[in-house]
Amino acid sequence: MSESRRDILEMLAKGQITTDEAERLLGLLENKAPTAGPRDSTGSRAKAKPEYLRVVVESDEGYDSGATVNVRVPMQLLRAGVRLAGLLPVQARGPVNDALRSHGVPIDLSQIRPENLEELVDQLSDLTVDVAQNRQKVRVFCE
Amino acid sequence: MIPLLLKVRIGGAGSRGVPLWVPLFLGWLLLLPLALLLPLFLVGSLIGMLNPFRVLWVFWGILNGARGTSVEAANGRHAVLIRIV
Repeated sequence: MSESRRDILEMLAKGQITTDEAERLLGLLENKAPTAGPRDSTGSRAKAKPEYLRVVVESDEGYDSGATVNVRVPMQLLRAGVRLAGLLPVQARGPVNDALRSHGVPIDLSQIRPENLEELVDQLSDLTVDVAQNRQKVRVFCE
Repeated sequence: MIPLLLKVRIGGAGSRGVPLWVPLFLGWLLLLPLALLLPLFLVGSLIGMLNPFRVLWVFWGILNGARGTSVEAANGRHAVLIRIV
């Protein structure tokens, strides 16, 4: 048994956390559990670069009766799309930023530069969005 | 590498459908004569104060990046798959 797992169980036994919290923490631990894979020069596990952004929408009824949408977008296409934003003329960026902000997307397009593009795309590898509403689930993740 | 094929499959209830392969490379060959319009594009880019080579580079990147894109949609009666290969 790992030390972290023991700590969680001890906290549960002492009543410091509820069973739900313990279950959630144990679930997080399991998700972080190391799997066999290459390590980099520092000894830490090398993080594989994601190749695709996936958007999956499914309903509880399943494929036969419910609607299912599965979209796979290559990260290369995302990179190219971000570069496309850099082609916007300077005088057009203000109105575009305003329009994005008014639609709830407060992004400053002038901040998207080639030097921080890779960092932006790399951050997407940690992105996982799960939305569940009624009988439908939406998942956005990288693979 | 630019996409060469487009796979489209439309299926009905209980069947996956027959895949239809669309040869995109033929489309690129057909579009090749448009290269004659490149001087116009260069002039247009300069008027729009854009670096034409950068514009070409970005669109080339989009074309290359589109390979591997896949969209699947299905409901109880129909299923559609579009994949760029």
